[in-house]
Amino acid sequence: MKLAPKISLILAILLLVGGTVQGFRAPNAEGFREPTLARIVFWHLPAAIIGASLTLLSAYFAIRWFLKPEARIHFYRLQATWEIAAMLAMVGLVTGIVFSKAQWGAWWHWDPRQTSFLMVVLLLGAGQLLYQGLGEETRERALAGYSLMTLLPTLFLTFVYPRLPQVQQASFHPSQTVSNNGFDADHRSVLGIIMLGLIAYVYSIGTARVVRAQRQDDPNYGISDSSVHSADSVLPESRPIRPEAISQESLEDAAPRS
Amino acid sequence: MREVWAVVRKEATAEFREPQGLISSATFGVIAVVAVAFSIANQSTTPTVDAGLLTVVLLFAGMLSVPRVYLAEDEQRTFETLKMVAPIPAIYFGKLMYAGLQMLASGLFIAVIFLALRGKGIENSVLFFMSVTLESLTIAATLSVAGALAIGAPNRWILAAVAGFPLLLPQTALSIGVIRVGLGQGVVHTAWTNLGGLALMLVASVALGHVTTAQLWRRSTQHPSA
Repeated sequence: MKLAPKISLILAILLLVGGTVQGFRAPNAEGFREPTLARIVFWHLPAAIIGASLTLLSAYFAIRWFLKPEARIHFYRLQATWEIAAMLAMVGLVTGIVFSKAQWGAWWHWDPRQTSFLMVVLLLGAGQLLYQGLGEETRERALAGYSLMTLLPTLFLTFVYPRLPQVQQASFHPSQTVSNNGFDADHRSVLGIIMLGLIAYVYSIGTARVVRAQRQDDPNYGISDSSVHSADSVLPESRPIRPEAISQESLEDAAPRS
Repeated sequence: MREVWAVVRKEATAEFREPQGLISSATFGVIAVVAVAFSIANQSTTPTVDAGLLTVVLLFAGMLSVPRVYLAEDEQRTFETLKMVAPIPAIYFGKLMYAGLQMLASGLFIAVIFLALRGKGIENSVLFFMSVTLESLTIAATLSVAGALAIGAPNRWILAAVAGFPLLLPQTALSIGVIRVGLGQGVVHTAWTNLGGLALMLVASVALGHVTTAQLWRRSTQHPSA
């Protein structure tokens, strides 16, 4: 792992722990039915926003990869983004369900925002199943194609549908409470800290995931040798090999068949 | 354009040579709509509920018929040959046109049976039939790409459904918003806005499907580990 992801992981842990502790110390949000339990929003809102944003970002990486197929790093970024988006979207959904029970009295309230976010989660899950269900030759392009196809539904479900007048009237979602008077400066600072912490966490594990995928493709990725300036500048035979890259399977594959 | 029509003709010829698949899909649509109408028989349902039920029947009918344009080809192992003799855009648009025509016919047929079994009139037939038309075409555009994505998977039919249904959820919401007004509940102005959204979704789905299939079927680039 390079230095920047390590630093961002430490930063993420500090911000998330600090933000959570600060969240418990902050005064109750009186604009809510259950002011004590409104603290769920400190995790729910950043997880949902970052999860949906990452879904859109994965479509961007899909376009980059389609434009330049030989640059496989864009696919690794797409895959990492998709997986982290699915994880954060699940966090957003579960915290939303708990919030629904605490504030509205039912685990699932068919609130339009709650339902539209469930659809985003279903899209992310379907993409993951598609990737796992296909063979090695097609799964990467299928996931990239699927993430491109989800661009439109995600944009609609995240930005358009919740803002339709008839939907806003029917929604219990406390967007106005959060943005207007329900949250004071203390609450907003906690939201900001946890949001920053999650962004740092996403950057850290996303980068680690991309590096791991590159190593799986090229066992010599990241090896610095004083005699070798660039891994691409030498012939494969002369590259140093990581010991862990030599597995029992690779030796069996290399053995001549009788 | 000539190549697109050639693919459409090839699809129609293959389908009518052994029409069991087509007949089964049409029969499924009829059974689904009868089953749904039976479940609400003699009940006073609101137009919104009726719109929801009709849209669900359209979705399931599409699920059975649309991905066939790719998955049946994959099962018969003729898709690689088709890719060798026809350009990729022609394959995509040819299959899309065939799936669209087939789904449109199924959709209108199902809608008419549903109305007959429901036993109530339509308030705004223009909105109702325009919505059924656009919804059917959107289902064809989206599920045909889902079928293309699932090619080669061991359980390709389920995978195409799993991949395709979530993509169609926004269109379903818009379609219900229009059909319920066609059946007599809601504001006409809002229905036209929803219909516009549905049309935009259709255009965008076709465009994204074109890009996706072009990339999906392009020649493989060398894998670094190979």
